[in-house]
Amino acid sequence: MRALTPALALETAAPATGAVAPAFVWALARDMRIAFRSRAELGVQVLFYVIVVTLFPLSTAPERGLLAALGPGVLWVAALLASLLSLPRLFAADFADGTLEQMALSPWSLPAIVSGKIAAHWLTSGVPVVVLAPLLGMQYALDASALSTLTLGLLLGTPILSLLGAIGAALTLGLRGGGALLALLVLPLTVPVLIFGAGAVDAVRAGLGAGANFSLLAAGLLIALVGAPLAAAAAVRIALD
Amino acid sequence: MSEFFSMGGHAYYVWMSYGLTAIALAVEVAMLLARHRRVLREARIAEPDVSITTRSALDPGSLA
Amino acid sequence: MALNLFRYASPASFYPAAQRMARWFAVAAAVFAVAGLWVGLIKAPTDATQGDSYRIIFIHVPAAWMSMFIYLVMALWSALALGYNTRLSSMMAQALAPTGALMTFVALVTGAFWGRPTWGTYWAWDARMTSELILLFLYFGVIALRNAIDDPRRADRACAVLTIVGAVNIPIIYFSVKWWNTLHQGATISMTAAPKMASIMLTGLVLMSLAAWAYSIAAALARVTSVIIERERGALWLSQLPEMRRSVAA
Repeated sequence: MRALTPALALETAAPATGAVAPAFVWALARDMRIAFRSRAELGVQVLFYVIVVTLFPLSTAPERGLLAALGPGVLWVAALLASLLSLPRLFAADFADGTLEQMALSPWSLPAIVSGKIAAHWLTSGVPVVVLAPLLGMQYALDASALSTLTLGLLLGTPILSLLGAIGAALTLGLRGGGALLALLVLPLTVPVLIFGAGAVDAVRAGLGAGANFSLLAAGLLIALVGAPLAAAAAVRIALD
Repeated sequence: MSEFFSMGGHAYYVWMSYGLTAIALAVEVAMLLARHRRVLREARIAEPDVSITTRSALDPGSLA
Repeated sequence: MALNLFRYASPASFYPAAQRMARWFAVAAAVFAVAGLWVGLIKAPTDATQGDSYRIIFIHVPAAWMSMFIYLVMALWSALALGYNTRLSSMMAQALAPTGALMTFVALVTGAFWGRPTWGTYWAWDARMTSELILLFLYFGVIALRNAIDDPRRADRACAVLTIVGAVNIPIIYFSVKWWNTLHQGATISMTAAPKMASIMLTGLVLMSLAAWAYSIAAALARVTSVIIERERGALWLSQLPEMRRSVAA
């Protein structure tokens, strides 16, 4: 049985027009509940990430130096691919059964609801990436400092990937060629994240310290936190009209 | 004159650049003209509809 | 006397103006191009360091400038479209995208051909070229999104949102790549090294830039006339146009 629609939820909760916190929490909890109903699907997406990362050293069998040089880039690209893989389900199911329209029509702030969904997406696809990165990074002969820099970078960067990806997912709602088109739209937007994330590890290895890279990632995260839900909500309304 | 064409030994790079650009521009112009002709042809076939200024994009009877 | 610009917000009024302006700008582009090519290919002397391959600059730089400028103008029209909800603003954004993509492509290709004799490689992941490549993907994304959406209203607004999000991203991309390359100074090749230019070369560059600018305007206006006819098909004013009365020649 599907979780409460906003219409039903509003009857039970005190209606707060434009309220942010209850909308966010509601959307987050709902999406997490729905995601955990299909745990297998979540597992498959995590497995995809593991396989992609493991495939490189397995199939190319390069020497250690080259592996270590490639490692951060490969892990970041794989994180992006894992995010892209799970983005369509951010809005698609709700769009198909009309729940998304209900969300848009409700007095709750749509950007807040969208933020909750994005948070759920990050928790189910971004966090596993961050948690597994140190383990998988060891295949690339990365030392402890490189691994920790990589993981911290992914911790800052994967939410940005979810936030920017949500804009793409909202824009391509219900369109044919969805997945590939989504990737085409999201890719140019997320390039700076990959550059700074992978660059942080390179900086640490060069002895320069990753402080500046992390500051920029953090700044990007703040900008995305504010801007992306607004843009994604606008895109959702455009798709619904 | 041959100096002009050889471009100090860099003939390939210079003339490929200028040549490909010229071709790209020519292709764009040709496509523009073809699109204009096609669009005029299709528009001639369409019946004029006096209500078009009030038509909304959601109109199921839209020609588009 | 206040110039009533909003009169031109109607596709019907804008159409004849666009046609006229397109022709004028096309002529201007041809004139500037001939002058610029004459200066760039013939009058300007051979460069001391780079030899004659530097002449690619007369295409590469104007194309790169236009690629960025067109995107900004596209973003401006997109903002107007979202703000004022005018069809024509979206049509202008729609008409600009292919020309912008072409300019970006030309900038990338000529950059590669310039890089090979000068720095020994067709491609280097430096700030400018990488940003140009990402810009090309942004253009492709906008064009692909427009083609994927059937409903013109949804397409207009979705492309407007995407264009604006991309516009915010362009300076970020440029600075992030530039900064990334500064960290790896030894490994990358800088294509931004532009020594002080002889004034004759500068003249050539200015002329070619004017040519590129005039060409882009002419192409966009010509394309918008096609877009207007496509999207206003069936309108009464359209059926009364002189070119509609002519018998089908094509």
